[in-house]
Amino acid sequence: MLLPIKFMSPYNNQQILEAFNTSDSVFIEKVYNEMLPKIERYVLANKGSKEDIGDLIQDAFESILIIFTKSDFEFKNKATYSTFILSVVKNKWLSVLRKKKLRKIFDLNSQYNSTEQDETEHDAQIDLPDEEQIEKGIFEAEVKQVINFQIEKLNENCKKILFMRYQKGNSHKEIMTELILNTEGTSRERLRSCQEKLYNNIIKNEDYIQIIAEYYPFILKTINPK
Amino acid sequence: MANLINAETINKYLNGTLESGLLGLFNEQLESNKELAEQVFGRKMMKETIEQYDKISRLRTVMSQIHRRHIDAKKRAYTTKQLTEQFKPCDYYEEELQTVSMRSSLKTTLKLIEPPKETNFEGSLFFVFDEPIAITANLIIENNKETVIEQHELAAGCTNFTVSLSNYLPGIYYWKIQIHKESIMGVVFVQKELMPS
Repeated sequence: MLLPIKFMSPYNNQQILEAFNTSDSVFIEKVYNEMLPKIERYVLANKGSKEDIGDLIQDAFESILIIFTKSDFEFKNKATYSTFILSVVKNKWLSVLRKKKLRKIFDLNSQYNSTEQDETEHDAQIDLPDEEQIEKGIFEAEVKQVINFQIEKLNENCKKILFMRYQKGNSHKEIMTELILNTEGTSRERLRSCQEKLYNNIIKNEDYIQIIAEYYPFILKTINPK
Repeated sequence: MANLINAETINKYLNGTLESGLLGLFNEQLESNKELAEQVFGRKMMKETIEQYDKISRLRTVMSQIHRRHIDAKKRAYTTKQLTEQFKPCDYYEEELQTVSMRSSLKTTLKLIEPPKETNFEGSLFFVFDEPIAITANLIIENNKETVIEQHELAAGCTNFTVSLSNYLPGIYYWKIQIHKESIMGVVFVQKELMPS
């Protein structure tokens, strides 16, 4: 049975989300420094080496920054940011072990508890993160990494119109004026064309196809969260 | 039956502007039509990624700078003179250590299990108390020049605390935990193996 874990975190969840959403580098580095020893201890206690840690941290934080900047993200199950981040690391590490085709993948959860025992405070309140939220978050983050790369490859005009519409919420009239287009219809048509170009690049991408095939059940959970 | 698998209808669905007459049918097909589900998913992810794009780009830069600083810190080279300076004990704190230690053994209620005295650390420094601290405490870490390196507030109920040393230069450091009118103090080394003999 899993024991409830409560890490003594110096910051609260709201501060963390704000730091990530405003790219507060000083604060984020403090979080990184706080998490680093916990991640090191976890990996070293679970068949990892010091060499594994650097790549794992980079990979985990790549997902975390995408998860934390999603507009409707909130921590479920009263999880703290540190248990959430450690759970992402745990899932990523499990995936690394699977890829290494280790014959025996031991119970990471029990290891996770035993290695962190001296850092935890037992409490009647369960605050382990929602496992499905972690898995879905990682899945979406992986998909978004692929899409992000495809956005980078778009021409500047397409990027501009997509960002004006979806980041700034500009109307077609505003886009028409800003981009010196003839009519609002031209703006509409250009937006549609750029969207379709991006969408077609995404669905043809090998990494995207592979991720979708691997995690198909999460597709329905993502589009229909109920 | 209406063909719902087209960009316009899916975008309307995602924007919440799909006509109510079609919405029921759309939700129904979404459950059973894999092609529709995949298109809705792909377009939803695309829209969200465009919205997040700037934040993700800025954070990637931030993260890569943090990673690089950590790697650089590990590779950094030091002269013997620098190391001698960094490992030179601070007279004031060495005296203070004796005093605090004598005081502590007499009346302090705060008992620390870790870190052991004068231990060498590399990655992180762990503070572990024998029981939860009763009230908020302050942890201060200073170098041998009496410069505060970092300061933390330990919440009441805390039984442990971890400090990452990955950005610390090799050398001698002094920590002090103040709780109400009591304080305990200790000395730790970072990368003691680099200390000139």
